[in-house]
Amino acid sequence: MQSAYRYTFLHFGFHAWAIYVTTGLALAYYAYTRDMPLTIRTALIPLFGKAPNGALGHLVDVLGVVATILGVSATIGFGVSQLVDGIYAVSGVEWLMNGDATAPKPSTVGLLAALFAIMSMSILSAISGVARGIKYLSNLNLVLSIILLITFVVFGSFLFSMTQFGLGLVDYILHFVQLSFHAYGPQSAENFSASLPTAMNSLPAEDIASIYSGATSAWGSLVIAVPNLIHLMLCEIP
Amino acid sequence: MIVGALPFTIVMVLMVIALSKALFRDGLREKAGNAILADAKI
Repeated sequence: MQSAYRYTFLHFGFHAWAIYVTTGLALAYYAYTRDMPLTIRTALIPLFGKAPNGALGHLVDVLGVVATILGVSATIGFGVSQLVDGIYAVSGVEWLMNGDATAPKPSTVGLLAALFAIMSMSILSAISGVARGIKYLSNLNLVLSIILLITFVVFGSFLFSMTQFGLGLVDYILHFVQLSFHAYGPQSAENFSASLPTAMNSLPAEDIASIYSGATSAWGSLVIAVPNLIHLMLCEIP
Repeated sequence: MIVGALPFTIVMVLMVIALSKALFRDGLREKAGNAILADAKI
């Protein structure tokens, strides 16, 4: 539990926001105080003078585009799969899944349909501008988050979640430096199985393989910790 | 895998240094500007 909170805070807390703020602040500063274009190379002009206008600038911009593509593709890849799972759980629409009753997974048609829907919404949101599409989506996101929070407060074990949240936050701050410089090296499947609590040894091999896959994924904390936290928040803790 | 992130890390570090330098120089310019304005009033 402690570890789940610690790594969730690491991936979605101060560390992640520091990266967003650095990039956003640098781009906004040069765009709004110096009337320069909104590109990554612009941010390097105080350091390199006119050099970013040439090959160095192209290289930096290409890196920026590649980083954006990698980030967006990972988000959309996981998001599409989760969206299909979620719609299936709510609606029970059969064609979204592969038809395997024991281990249902999103079907190719379901994934493509969800991808098309997400891409259409995101294109519409982007071309309609910050004042319309993006604003509406942000407001909707905030309202849905508040509804989700109220659901946890009313139907979940709110005191337990808040206690864990506070403990997790303190733990994150205490291990801030250590986490910042920790190079992540995934364990082998054998070592991972051996280090699991004894209560989990009775799980089927497929379940342990699934946990290992989630735990060694770059999105591990999201894939494993967040559903577990939601489950714990919605269940009454004895 | 970690080495793959190195180019992006370098760009981020350079961005931080460049932004700090620009903000620091803005501060110097502001101070110098205020001094010039104060001299002009005298």
